Order: sequence, then structure tokens, then C-alpha cells
Amino acid sequence: MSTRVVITGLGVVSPIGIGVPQFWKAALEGRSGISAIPSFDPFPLEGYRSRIAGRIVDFSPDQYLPAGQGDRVDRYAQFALVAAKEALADADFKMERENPHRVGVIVGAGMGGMVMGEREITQLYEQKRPHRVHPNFIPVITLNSASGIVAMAYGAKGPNLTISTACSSSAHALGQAMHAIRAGTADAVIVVGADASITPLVFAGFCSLRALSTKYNDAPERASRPFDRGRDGFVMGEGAGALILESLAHAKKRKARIYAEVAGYAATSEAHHMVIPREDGEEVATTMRLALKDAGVTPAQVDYINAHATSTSVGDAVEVKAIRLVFKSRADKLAVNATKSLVGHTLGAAGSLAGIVSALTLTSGQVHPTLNLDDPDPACALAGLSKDQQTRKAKVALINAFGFGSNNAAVVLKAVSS
Amino acid sequence: MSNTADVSGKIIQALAEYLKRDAASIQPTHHLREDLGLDSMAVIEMLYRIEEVFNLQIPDQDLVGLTTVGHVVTYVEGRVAPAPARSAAKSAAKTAAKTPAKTPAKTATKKPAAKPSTKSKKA
Repeated sequence: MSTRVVITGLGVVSPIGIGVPQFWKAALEGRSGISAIPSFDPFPLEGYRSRIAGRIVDFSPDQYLPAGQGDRVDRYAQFALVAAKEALADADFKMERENPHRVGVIVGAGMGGMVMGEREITQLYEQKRPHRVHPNFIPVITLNSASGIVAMAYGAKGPNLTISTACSSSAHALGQAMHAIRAGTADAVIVVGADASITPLVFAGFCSLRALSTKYNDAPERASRPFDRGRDGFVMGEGAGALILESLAHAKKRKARIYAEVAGYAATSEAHHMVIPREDGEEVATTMRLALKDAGVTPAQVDYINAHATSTSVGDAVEVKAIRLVFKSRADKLAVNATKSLVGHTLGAAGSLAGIVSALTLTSGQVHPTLNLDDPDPACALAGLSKDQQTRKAKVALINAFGFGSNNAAVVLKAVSS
Repeated sequence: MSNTADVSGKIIQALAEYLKRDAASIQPTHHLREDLGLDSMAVIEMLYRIEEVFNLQIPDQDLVGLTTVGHVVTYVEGRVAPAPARSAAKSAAKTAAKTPAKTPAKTATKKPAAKPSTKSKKA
């Protein structure tokens, strides 16, 4: 029997709350974090087809971090620092009591330090003064800046990795952390997913890709509507989620409170298309089956799915098709929800937020609402989807995460009986 | 030169360049996906080129009706035509008319015609 891996701490920076208690309360109440983008100054907002996002308004790193700690990293890494700090405190994880080389950091990030990145690139091309590129530009935009700063801030000297698989990044971070602990290369891993790229260039790129919702610019809270007939693309979000993973033995030794077990994980490629999923859902189904097998559970044992559900026309339908392929008649007995209906698509943070939501669902028995499910699309129909909060004593949760580049991930969490 | 020939020629040329094939082999009746083999991402890339050629911004909602070369031609004609002709051309695009509306060619060329109609709230 391989080493069991458990979650002992959680931290969140999200458009519906900074801090797990605030986030979870807002999630259960079904509050939307989507709002109008006030400006992309100096660029005309009319040039953007989509003008809404799941933004974190008035975030100041100094409010949460020691003075100066967040100064030399980009916004996404500041989110990562804040979320990791909360998760470590939540886990009562004290680095001075640990062998620091046995504590790793694995971060999932899709875009990375784009706030400074875009600014510096723009200035260089406009002003043509290469000697004025900021000395901190490279350290900031290097995609492992968040995993680096988290390790420095909290003294974790074990494996330090960044996984970038677009929208599935931090689901893989969870899975790879589980592998590292199973393999015995770490006792504990600080897992973080983070992104903050509601920036003029990245946002314009997603607009050009025709991936974003554009019908609800005047009603932002209605725009992220996974599985609803009126969905027309995803809503970009930003944020970070952090989870402390450790071996069960390590958690027991230090008498840690356990949220859930990370019991299984699968990573696959559809080897199909950069941005379009295979419409028959077979590859997504295979990914879910492999994760369940890794966890040693059958589809009949699964109670809850935190769906990838980005609110795109094709993506949501493919996911439901795949769920039906795997779960057959069980599909309509599952509780299912879409966290992106609350906060939008936080890209690299999405998998970690799904992990946090799933852990909280297993411990609380509460399933947060899926917002804007006003007119369920028959192509995405599942009996366990609801725009209302549901109570469900779930023992096994499945997290789906899919990324550009034909990338799929699935993670299985199990409730741990005390 | 009629507007139709002008718009159609430019669109077929853009398509030919994108697909790396002879413009003469592309017909207005060709279905973008089934006949020309464009997937949804390729349609978006192709329209991106066409937006540049005609100085347009095509709202997401208008993509639905653009399934053949002829639809794209009709749609673009409607967008580059002077205001009164637009509604007619737009409805023509909707019903996927095979004979594109004949409208004057004046605004069809380089002139930075019609500010991109992002505010027209999409169909």
C-alpha cells in the first residue's frame, strides 16, 4: 500500500473573498465575484469584446504580508504568498519543527507575471531604450517566480517546481505533490495555484481567441453560467489557492487536522488540438477513469464532482458527455457544481480552488450553488446540478481540470473518518 | 468593379493565403468546415485576417451564421456598406442568402470606414 497523502491546510485569495472562511461563506451563499472592468487605460475598453472579469478589487499585499515581502514579485505571486501563508497557519505547520529539505513547493501557474511583463515589453518597444528594461524583469516573469518566493518566504527547501499546463496547472500541482509524497521525496508539499492576468494584452488575447463571454457585458454577474443554455464563453478571473499536502503519517505525528485524502490522480493528453476538446468526450472519460483507478474507487463510490465547467459551449457539453460515459446511471446521482460560476476562470488557480472547494465539500457536507443555471442546457443535463446550495454527505470527490494544449487532469479526494 | 466582386475577391484571396491553396479552387458555396476543412479555431484565425483586410471588428455573436464562404462575403458586405444598406445585408447574412446584396463599393476598400461597431451589441 502506497503512502497516503492528506490535506491539512487551506488558503484562498479569490474574487469572492480573501481567506477561506470568507470565500466559503460567499460560495455557499452563491455570491458572484464577476464585475465590470473599469478600464484598461490607456487602451480603449471598446476595443475589448469582453469587458467583465472576476477581479480582486483593492488587493494590497502589505495588508497580508510582512512589509516589502511582495514588492519584488508580480501580482500572481503576491496572491500565492498570501494564500500559502493562510494555508500554513491553517495547518498549524511550523517550518522550524520540520526538516526543511522534506518540505516542497509546487505551484501551478498558466500565465505568470504578466503585469510587469506587459509593462516592460510595451515600454521597450515604445521608448526603444533597452538599457531601461527593469533589472527585476527577468526574475519576475520567469514562470517559477511564485514557487521561488513561496519557498523563500516560508523556508521550504524541498523540491521546488512550477507546472504550467494552462487551465489545468494547479490540478497537476496537486497530483504531482501527491506523487512526490508517495515517492518519499517530501513529507509535505505546499501546493499553490495562482494567476493574475486580467492585463491588457492577455485579456485581449483571450478576446481574440473568442473564448470569453461577450453577451453579458452589461450584466457581469450573469456572465459565468456553466451548463446553462445562455452560456457564451468563460469569464476571466484571478486569484490563488493553496493547500498543504502531507503524508498521513506525518500529519498524524503532528496531530494535524485533516480535511481530506488526496487519493488519486491522472494526467493525460488528448493529442488532439491546441484549444478544442475532442467532442466525443472519450479522452476526458479516460482521464477520470484513470484517476479513480489510482484512488482505488469505482464510479459507484463517487458522490460529488467539482466540474471544470468553464461556461463555454463545447467544453461544458463534452465534460457532461464524459461524465455520462464513466458514470452511466450513476451520473444523475452525483452532486455536481461549477466553482467558475462564482469566480470566473482563474486559469492557473482553478485547480487549486477546485481542490479547496472539494475538501470543504467533503468536510461540511455542503455543495455550493452553480450560479446562473436558469435554463439548463439539455446537452449538459445532470440531475445533481443545482443553482441552489445542496446538502450531501459526500465521501469521494472528483475534480476535473482541462487545459489548452490538449491537456487533461483529474484528482480524487476521499473523506477521512476521524 | 462591384462591391460584391471586390469583397468576394479579397475574402477568397485571404482564404487562399490562409489555406495555402489556389484562390480559383475556392467557391462561395464552400462550407468552411466541411469543404475547406477549417475547424472552429481556424475559422477564428481566418476571420482575424478578414477583420484586418476590411478594418472590421466582428462580434462573437455574428460568428454563428458564418458557415460558408458566401455567408462571410455577404456578412462583410453588409458591414462595409453605407449605413442604410446594413440592415438589409445583415438579414441577408442571417438567412444565408446565396446572392449577396449589391451595394456600392465605396467603403469597401482601404478607407477606414465604419468605426468598429462594438457598441452595436451583437445580433
